[in-house]
Amino acid sequence: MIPVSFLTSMLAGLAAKVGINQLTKHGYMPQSTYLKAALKALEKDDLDEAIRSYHLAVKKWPPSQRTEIAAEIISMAIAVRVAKLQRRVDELERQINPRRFSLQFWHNLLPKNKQRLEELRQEQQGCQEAISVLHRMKEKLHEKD
Amino acid sequence: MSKIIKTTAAGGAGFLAGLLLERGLESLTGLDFVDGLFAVSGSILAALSVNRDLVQAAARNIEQMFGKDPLEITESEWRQFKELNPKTAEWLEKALKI
Repeated sequence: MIPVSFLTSMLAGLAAKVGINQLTKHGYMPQSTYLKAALKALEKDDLDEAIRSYHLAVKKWPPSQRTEIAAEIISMAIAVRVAKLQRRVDELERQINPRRFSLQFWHNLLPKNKQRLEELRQEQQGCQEAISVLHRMKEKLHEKD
Repeated sequence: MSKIIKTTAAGGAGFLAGLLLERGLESLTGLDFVDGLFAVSGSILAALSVNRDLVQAAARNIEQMFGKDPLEITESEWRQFKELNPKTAEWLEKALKI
């Protein structure tokens, strides 16, 4: 037989959990809770979650110095990723479309390199798509609900 | 000696029983109910440590941007960072008393 006091405390725990879940979901928890979640997500490279948590931080609370800094940090993290991808795109571009009559130019003409060139083109396309996704994320970050 | 063993055994059994009960309730209800009790204190802790997290996140950005430890960046690199992130740089200067 389970004692009543134990059941009561268990129900209180459950009610607290459900209530807090709802408050968290709708942006009623303290701003720092969401900022911490956003920074944690950023650390794990989860930009979507970082942006979602940032939006929750300013959903019910007015923007503060800390939210502005967090937005700048997230924005910067996106910019760093874009810059890295852009460097790779440029590097691939030099390999795919080299200067005329350069060593790479003749190298690319060899039939054995056709497959490799195709792979490089696909990688470049992938990088460009990733860049556009990151740009959309940056726009989303600055969007107001 | 036997008293210590008895206390340790009882403590271990209690811990295991609590763990099993928590896991059982979680699987039955789909809720981490024990976590619920700590969520409020968690949010207070979050408020206390968010400044440290902001500094760490900014440091990571600097590291990724310049490829070196934030302590090793030059004056011009700092100015470049400041230009791109004025609010963060200003806040860091205040927080770290640069």
